[in-house]
Amino acid sequence: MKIGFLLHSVFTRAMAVPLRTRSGSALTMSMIVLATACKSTSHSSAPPAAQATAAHSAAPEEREREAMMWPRVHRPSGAELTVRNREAERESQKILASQRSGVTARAVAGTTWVSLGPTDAFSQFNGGPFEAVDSGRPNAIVVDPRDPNVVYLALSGGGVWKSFNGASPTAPRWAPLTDALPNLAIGGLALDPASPDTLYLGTGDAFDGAGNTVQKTTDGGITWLSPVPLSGTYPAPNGQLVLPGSIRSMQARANVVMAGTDAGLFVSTDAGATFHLVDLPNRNGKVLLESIWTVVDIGMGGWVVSGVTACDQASGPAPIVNGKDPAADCTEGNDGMIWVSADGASWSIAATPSMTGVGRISLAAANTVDPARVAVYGFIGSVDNRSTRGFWRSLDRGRTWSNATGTLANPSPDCTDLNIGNDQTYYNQAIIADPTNPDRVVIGGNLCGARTLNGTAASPRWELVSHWLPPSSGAVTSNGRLSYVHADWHAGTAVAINGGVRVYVGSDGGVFSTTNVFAASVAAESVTWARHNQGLATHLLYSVASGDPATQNPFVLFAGAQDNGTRFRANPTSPSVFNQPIGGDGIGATVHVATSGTTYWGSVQFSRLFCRPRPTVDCAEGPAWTNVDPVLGMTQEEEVERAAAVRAAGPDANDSEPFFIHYANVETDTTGQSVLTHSVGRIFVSVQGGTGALTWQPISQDLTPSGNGFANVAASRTIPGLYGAAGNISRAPFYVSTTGNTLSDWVVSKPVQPNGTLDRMTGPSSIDFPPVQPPGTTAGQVYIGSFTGVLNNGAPPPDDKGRLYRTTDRGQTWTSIVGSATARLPNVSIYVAKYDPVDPKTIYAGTELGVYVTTDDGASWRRMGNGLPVVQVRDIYVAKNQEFIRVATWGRGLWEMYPSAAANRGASGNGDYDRNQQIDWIDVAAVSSRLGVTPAVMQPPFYTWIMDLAADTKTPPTQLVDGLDLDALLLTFGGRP
Amino acid sequence: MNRSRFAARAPALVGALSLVSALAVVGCSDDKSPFHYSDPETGALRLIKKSADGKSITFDFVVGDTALTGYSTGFTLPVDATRVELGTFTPGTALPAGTAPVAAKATIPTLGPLTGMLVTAQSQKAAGEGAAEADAVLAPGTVLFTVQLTLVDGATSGDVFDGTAEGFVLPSGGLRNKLGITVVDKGQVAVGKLTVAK
Repeated sequence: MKIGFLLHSVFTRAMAVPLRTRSGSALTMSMIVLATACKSTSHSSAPPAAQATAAHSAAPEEREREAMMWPRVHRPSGAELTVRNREAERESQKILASQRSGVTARAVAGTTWVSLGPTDAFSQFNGGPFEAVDSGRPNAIVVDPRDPNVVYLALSGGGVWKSFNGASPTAPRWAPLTDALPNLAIGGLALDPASPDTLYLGTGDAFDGAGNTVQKTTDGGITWLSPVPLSGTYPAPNGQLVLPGSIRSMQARANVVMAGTDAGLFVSTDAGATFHLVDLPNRNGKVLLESIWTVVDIGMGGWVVSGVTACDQASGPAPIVNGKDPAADCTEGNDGMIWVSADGASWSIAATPSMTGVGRISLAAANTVDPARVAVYGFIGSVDNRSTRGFWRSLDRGRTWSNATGTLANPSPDCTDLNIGNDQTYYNQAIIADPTNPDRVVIGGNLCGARTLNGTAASPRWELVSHWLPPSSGAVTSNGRLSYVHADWHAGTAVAINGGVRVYVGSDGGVFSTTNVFAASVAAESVTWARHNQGLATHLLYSVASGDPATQNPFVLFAGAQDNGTRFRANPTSPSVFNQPIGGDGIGATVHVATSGTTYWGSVQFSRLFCRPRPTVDCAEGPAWTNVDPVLGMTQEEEVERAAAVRAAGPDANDSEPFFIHYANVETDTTGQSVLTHSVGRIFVSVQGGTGALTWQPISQDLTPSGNGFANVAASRTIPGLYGAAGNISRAPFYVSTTGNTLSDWVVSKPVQPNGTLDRMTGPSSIDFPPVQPPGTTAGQVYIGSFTGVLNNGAPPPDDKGRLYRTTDRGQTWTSIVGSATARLPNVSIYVAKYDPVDPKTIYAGTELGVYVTTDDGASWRRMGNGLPVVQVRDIYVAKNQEFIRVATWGRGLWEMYPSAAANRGASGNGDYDRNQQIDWIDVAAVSSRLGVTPAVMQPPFYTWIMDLAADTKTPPTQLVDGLDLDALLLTFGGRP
Repeated sequence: MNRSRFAARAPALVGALSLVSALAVVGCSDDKSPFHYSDPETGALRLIKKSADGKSITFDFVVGDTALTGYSTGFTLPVDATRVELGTFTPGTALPAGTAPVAAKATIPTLGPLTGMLVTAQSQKAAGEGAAEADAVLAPGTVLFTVQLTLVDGATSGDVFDGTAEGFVLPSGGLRNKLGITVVDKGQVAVGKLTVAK
């Protein structure tokens, strides 16, 4: 989430004024509410009793409003998480067992998924061009102490990746280690320095991907032990049973493993075999839940931990944002605290400065080469985590702390002071310390990074060393222009290499490093940053927009990404390279092809853009895209402010622009420019006027007068005028119109109630219509609806009901279509479900665990194809003639199953067929036996992109294993992939 | 050890027999050769001495007593790289490795996870020059490839590798068919003991 984005259309204006003057402040307001969603949905770690209390104390509409806001992902309850873990582990085992399975009949007749990237970018544009290649969001970066080239990344949605040349300043080669594991949302990763091939991953991203398990490897990630779920009970008088929803920080040393979670600190003393909850001490003798943010190993058996406490002994974990000072409803306050232990067993509260209103704290230890003289630093958020309060320092191994905020020597217009986390301090906090020197620290937050070279001084001097958008005036200090590091810092580490120190940083744009940030001789503005994001197909994607063989443009492919803008496939000769023509949070995207022209639609939060490709217009480049007037006729900035104001005022009937823009291509309109989108309340269709200008016309009543918004919109691919939308509330989950572009009252469905009339399914996510009208029915009578949520009482739906339903009476009644017990759709979140465009008995489901397909109208389901990681699938596009299926994943980029010898080449494989991190005879066997194999080959051995190392000589290159791949493999024979 | 019975079981017992360490016969050395090697007597695939001289020893990697059907083969064998280095590697014709490129290679890496190991591979090719579509039937005694180790200057006396040691199992090795299914597991690849005695 990059809130401080640069609005596409106002770049020039923004360059002349402080970038965030209006849009920034407005977004701040809106995000307060957006982040409130984190608060309420983070009940995942509350005990069942507490969850029940919360569920009954909050109005359903209030809780359901959260669905339209970021983070969008439903945060599971403990019960739901347990179901999710069970389903995911079962599916993970299936994947491991079925990697060489045969073909099964289905509408898209492929066998193997291919990673399409993005692996690189020729250009990135955010109001203006800038030099960058970005990737998805890391939560941890760890380096093997024996070899600085061995680098591991833990990603918020993409699992763990590894490089054997990670210190390369230009292009390290990365490979995913965990594609078959049950959960790719990794919140923490620890390497045991005593045994560096031993690592522990902790699942659950703090913001948008839940998990509560730890998995261990003892061979550098080749194999992983079974997940160990964390749970524990706080002692009396608290007594709450907690299951974490995210593991935010992990550390390990020998048999001691620490996992800092949103529900407390969990410790293992048997090398990860078991974990127990540690109740850290609280003030006033209370027993409060702690939400841990950082665990730091300070050597000599000592540990320092930071976290935020619950409001009182009956409360669940503190919210990520909008924490409270002591008040009537938060008697103890959501205090940010630091705890210290000299032995990992007994803990005490550290003595911190008398600063009130402290929230999230992130920690880092400096001078760890000399543990007796270690210096520990803290990045201090405000209690509501909407600003940065400053920085603390301890020089006595964490026991006592002093204020080390100091001064900022070189402010820039974007970063005028040390409020470095800005209004997103809850989200972007990173602090990294020099392991060889107690004085040197790097901090990063929202828009800038900074360093100090005298951190132990009474008033440290901080200097900005990076900026999120260097071409803008916001990057200029009095001493020069700062270098690029993508906005929103989350993680980092510093390693001593060859007498120097390399600092790695993980932000919303991936991985960056510097080797001269601690050089006193290098001016802050001259600090150089290398990016390490080529080959990291880890983008968090909301949507996929695709061309189609039926319209002669199957190469066209783009996607909306979380803070990686809109990624647009640039060039057939390099088909895994995706430019960023639009910055910010790219969300909705679609393609419309008609006799009146082809239009590509992209988006930024609250805003829509289009590009109409012509021989002289390259939509892979930013200047080709144009803002279209907002649906409500306001300027973009007015909409931003209005949205914030509406939300701040609470539910009302005022319509506004949504943060999450969705589109639906009206494929049946082969002459006009019909594309659906929505405001918070209504559905709109684009119409081309006589001048060719595109405008929006409302075609629905205000469907969500409470301001709940929409999760998705849809248009039948075969039946003209049949439109639908998924709302965000359980009482009225779906809306349907059969009157096309005419303004009319849409039919509102009744709730989906799997258990009769008691409870409702929450979190509607998608709606779709069969491609052929079932006999005896009329348009709009039959459709399917999917859900990401649970029942409104907080319980997961029954396994035999799940989260996919069909109505045959216009939404009056619903029937589950998740299949039979032996061939059931996993009981996990379904982000999108789509009918095959030809076969009405075939439905594709994009789920928490990948893609599933039924070819018998929901009677049975199976995991679709081989090779797709156990990853959230957020959007699906199926070619009109069933030639391919393309999907957008949350953390592993774009994938396709395209059984064609002409399919454009995807990401380069590394040839390590058996993923044992070495190239040997098994890999030679795997590539040699596949020579000549394309995805069109329907008998084993099947095509796999892993063995497609090098581009073939075709123009453009295709998905083909050939002699060039064998050549490339043999070059690494006997070595690392 | 009943050789015929063992051999008959071997192809079906993937991984069941880790006695790669096959019984060593009598260690033998050609005149003037510093290399002493004991051929294994069992194993579905065996590393057999072909020849030796004062500077090198050459091995054939052969099929054991039972015919096999496969597509690709190879092994990874830890060696004492202070005593030997890779000489020549000659792909056999039973699993034709084709040309441009040749799907066969051997190396003793000096970097990485396979440092100090003799790493070999040979495969048929599904397409390209010299392609072979189907799995090959490999009669007993068929030579899959030939690999030569040469004496390192200044090498001292001692073991180069010892496949007869208790519990020895190759890190990797075997035979796979075209579908990638294991025909011979590493536990059925037999290696003898190679010693340098100067």
